[in-house]
Amino acid sequence: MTPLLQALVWFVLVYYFFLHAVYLLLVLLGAVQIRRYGSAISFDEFERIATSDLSMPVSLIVPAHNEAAIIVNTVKNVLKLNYPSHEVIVVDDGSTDDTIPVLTKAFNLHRVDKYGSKHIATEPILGIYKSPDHPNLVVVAKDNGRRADAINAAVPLTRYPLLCVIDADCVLESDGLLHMARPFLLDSGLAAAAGVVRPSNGLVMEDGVIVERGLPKTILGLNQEIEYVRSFQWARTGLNKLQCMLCISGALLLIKKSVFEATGGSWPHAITDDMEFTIRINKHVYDRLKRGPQRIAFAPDAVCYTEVPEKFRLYASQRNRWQRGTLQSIFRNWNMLFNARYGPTGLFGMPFFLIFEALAPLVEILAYVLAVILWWTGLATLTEILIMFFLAYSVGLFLTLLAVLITESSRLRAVSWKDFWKLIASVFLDNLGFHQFRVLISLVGTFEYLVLRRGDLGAPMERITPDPKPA
Amino acid sequence: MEILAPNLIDTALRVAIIAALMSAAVLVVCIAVRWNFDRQFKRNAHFRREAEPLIAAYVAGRAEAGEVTGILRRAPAEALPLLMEISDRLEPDERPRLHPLFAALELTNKETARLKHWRWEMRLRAAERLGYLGDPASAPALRAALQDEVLAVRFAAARALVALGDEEALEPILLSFDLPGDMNQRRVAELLYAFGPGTTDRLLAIVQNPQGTFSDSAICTATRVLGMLRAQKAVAPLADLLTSPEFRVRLHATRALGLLGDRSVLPQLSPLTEDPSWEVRNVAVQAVGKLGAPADVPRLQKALGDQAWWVRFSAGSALYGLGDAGIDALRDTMNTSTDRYARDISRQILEEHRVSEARERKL
Repeated sequence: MTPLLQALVWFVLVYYFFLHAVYLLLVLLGAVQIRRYGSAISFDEFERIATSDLSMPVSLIVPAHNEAAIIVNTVKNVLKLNYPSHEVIVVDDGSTDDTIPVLTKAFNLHRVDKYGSKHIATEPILGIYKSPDHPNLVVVAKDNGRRADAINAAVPLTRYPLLCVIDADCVLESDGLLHMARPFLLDSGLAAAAGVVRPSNGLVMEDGVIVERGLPKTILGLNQEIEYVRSFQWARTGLNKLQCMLCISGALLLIKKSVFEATGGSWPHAITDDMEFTIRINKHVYDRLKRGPQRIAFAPDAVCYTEVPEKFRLYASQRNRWQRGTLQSIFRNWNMLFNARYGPTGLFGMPFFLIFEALAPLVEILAYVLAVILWWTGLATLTEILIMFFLAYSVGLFLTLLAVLITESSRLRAVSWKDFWKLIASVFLDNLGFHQFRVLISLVGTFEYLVLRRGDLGAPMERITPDPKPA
Repeated sequence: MEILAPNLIDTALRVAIIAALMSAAVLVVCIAVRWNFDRQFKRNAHFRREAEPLIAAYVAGRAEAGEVTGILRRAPAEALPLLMEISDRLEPDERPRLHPLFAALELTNKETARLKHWRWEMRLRAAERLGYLGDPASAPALRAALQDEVLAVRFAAARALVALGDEEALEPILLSFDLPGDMNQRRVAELLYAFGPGTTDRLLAIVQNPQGTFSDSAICTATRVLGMLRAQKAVAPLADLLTSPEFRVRLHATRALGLLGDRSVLPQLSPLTEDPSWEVRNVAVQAVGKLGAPADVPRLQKALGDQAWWVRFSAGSALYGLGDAGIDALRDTMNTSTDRYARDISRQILEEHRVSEARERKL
């Protein structure tokens, strides 16, 4: 028994050593990348893109399902984006609420019977609507599929070479699209670009425009703010440098239409279609046998805000779905694992994703179980176990504070001193329960996916209407 | 048997304490960075409150340069971005008014030297600043920077040369950006357009390319700029390019002629609606729509049945743009054509423009 326990303890220790070594590498890479990114931007670059006739026009796709509470605000926001030429295609994916009526009322929609070049196999399209007040707005009503099905239905209706997919609960910074499109102007071989996502809870909106950028008010919301900082500000920046950014959030993706079509579009049966699609984009872009010189970019200053759950029930449902989606995405593209054909993506990105993202909850739970067994059997004292937990806590704290430092020093997120202290407090609290809760939910998700073969999307988000500007 | 050996626990404790101390250090640095940004922000805001009205008064002719330069010299680090920002807000012909203020900062030599800095970001910064500083003495160094290995630096140098009005640099700029890819051509075209109509003759010489110095890509860029400039004297030379064996040249010449708006080229332009390349056909249909008269309706009506959706869509839009004659042709196609694709696109165009008969027919 003891040799087995000893082997497991060493396994956990080695695992955590490599996990944190990779995280540290990503932090440092991310910091360098963000600094280089900032210093390469010309003085009036975004003004030039905004006023240039030659900027590539963008088709924005907004899939929506039962989003009547927020959809008008989202559409107003995207219609008002500072960009020379863009169209907005809202796809109502079989909503059972008033999504279409509220849109019709707000934008004076009228029905057209034919629009776009062709339709591909998706759930049936029930109607296409246009607005005389907003010539660049198209609304599509279709039978319920999933988010991916809605995106696939919209693509043939787009008229521009760049597609930007955003979630219906998202709010973009007014210059967000300019920042996302910039890499495409600099590199004709770019296939896709991703931006930063942050919680929108705490934003104050006025007629579709952000007027104040506060932080979420609940502890759970603040905890997710920290998670998003860690995940986007350094992890994805660093991973992108290594050609291993295997998850572009569905909240904000800009992709060439030709690449979207070449990859076969989103997979309608995916639990997390954004993750699965990102892996296939990587597969397409970094395939050494097929690819031309293509690339995926990450714009750390292109910001999109999305609503995060502030109730534990919804949070658990979301994380459960993410964990099942991660496993499904990896297993569906298992042939990329350790495959040199896909370069660093196959040799490092996919294994990292599997070992340090998808399976991390299992190892962490194993560590907790081991701790209990060792203490129970008297093989380790409580002090020794607490020292090991203190080690995990302090290393995690250090890495998260580094992420906050990068954000602060790059001025990518300007918050008040009061909000700054709230953020710091939630950094200290993250590993004192929240992290363990996430691990537990992920473990349940893993069990449900691997054993129960659960493939549904979980509980839908309960939308809160954005804060109006105070009088 | 000990699972957690004492030296392992010792090491873990040491690492944990080091990580905790480093966390504390990072937190302190975080606070310091924030505090410093706040301080800089306040200082900058204070400087702007003081300098901006003075600069505005100087630009409006209500103050002398000497009154402004004193305050600018006191804080050149804040003054330069402020002047650059104000320069961007001014019309191009008003910008030289700021040159004495930029000159007061005495930065030309420093920035020219920086064009050879080992870090490309510094070279980029230097090139863009030299464009604002407006000192013609920096032109030779900027022309040398057109050979920089980093494309972004070359673009910044080219932009600076355009800002300096150095028309002699037009050919070197075109040669230094002789790159594949439509996007680069578009960026260079936009940049050269800023030179204004004064460069028309130079561009025409490139388009005619008697000595074969310029590649097809450079000719395409020059063609694009001539179209953007609406240079009427370019009509005949561009019409000659419509028979080029290179499809990109035909494409850009067609597009430029559409922009120039001279109907005399229609006899040469119209046959391109049947070009082997769908991209050329698409642009030709658009150009005929812009220049055309009711006499061109049959040609556009024929394009409604093109194999490429974009050509059909452009033909439909062009017909709609021609007014009643075009709309009648769309209705006629929708009602009587045997080509399903032509009928579909006609109905789609009429519906999108809310021409009532399309809906009535559907109903």
